[in-house]
Amino acid sequence: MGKVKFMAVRRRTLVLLALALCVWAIIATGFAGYYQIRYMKVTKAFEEIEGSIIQVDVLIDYGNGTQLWHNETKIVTGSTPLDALLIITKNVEFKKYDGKYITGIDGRVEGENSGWTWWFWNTEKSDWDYSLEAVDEYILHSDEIIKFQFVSW
Amino acid sequence: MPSLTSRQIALFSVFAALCIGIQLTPRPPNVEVTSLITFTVGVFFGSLLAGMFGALVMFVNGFFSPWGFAGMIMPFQMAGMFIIGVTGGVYKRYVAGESTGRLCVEAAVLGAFLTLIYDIITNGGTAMLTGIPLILTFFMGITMSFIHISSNTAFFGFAFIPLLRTLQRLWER
Repeated sequence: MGKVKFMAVRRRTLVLLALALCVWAIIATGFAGYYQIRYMKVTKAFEEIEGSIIQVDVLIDYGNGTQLWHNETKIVTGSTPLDALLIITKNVEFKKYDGKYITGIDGRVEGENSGWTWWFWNTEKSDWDYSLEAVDEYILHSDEIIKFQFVSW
Repeated sequence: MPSLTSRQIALFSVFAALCIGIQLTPRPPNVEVTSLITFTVGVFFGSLLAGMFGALVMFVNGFFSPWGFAGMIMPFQMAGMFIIGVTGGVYKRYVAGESTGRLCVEAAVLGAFLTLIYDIITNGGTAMLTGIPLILTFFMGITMSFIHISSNTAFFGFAFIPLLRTLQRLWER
């Protein structure tokens, strides 16, 4: 009799253990699936964003012998040279006329006979071209090379 | 249909009113004691009555829930709670002669399992109505299911035996 009771109790315990494991397994699978879905969503969103990101090379020439290259600066498609500059440094001063006009970068500000200009690299001429467009109006293209130069006249 | 004495009917009605009252009280999402009460009613009154009890509570809840009208999910909620009540009735035959500690653990495990079944049934309802695959519905609702299962595990584990003992004492008077 004692053996029968022991077996009965054991079976009951095993059934409960099986139920508990079943709950644990299903919940764990649920969380794994949940995070897999989240991962797939984030990956998809990242791929969508990645497609809209381009990179440009930016040179800042402070006019005092200091030239800093910021290669492969990542910007969103449709960005302007000013947007690219603001990604490199937040210390940018500008004024707005028809378009925006840079008056200072990293504390280097314009004077009566000096100021900031911006240029783009002409691949056909292999030389810099001075841009007549406002710094916030020109739309940058992928792999373009631009320069912000402090000049005196 | 089991025949009941007027005392049993009165007790059953009080339980139904109590359960509906608690179910309709504003509370955190997916934290409920209806499952526990339905299960306990099952242990006390038997499978059929408890199944109907659970279905009735979810039927009323479907219209007056603080979380809004249940809509087409209501039949699935009723079915889920019916199963909990029936299981309580089945479990009745295993309660006698067991230690309190063991019954608490068993109740906790059963609470977790029955809540999981309930969630799968209601997720199945959502899946059928929205056309989203069941597995996705389950995955996306896993956080809420986890809250539901955890809270019910605690409720069943800590409150089932005291509730049952109280009912028995009340009945023996």
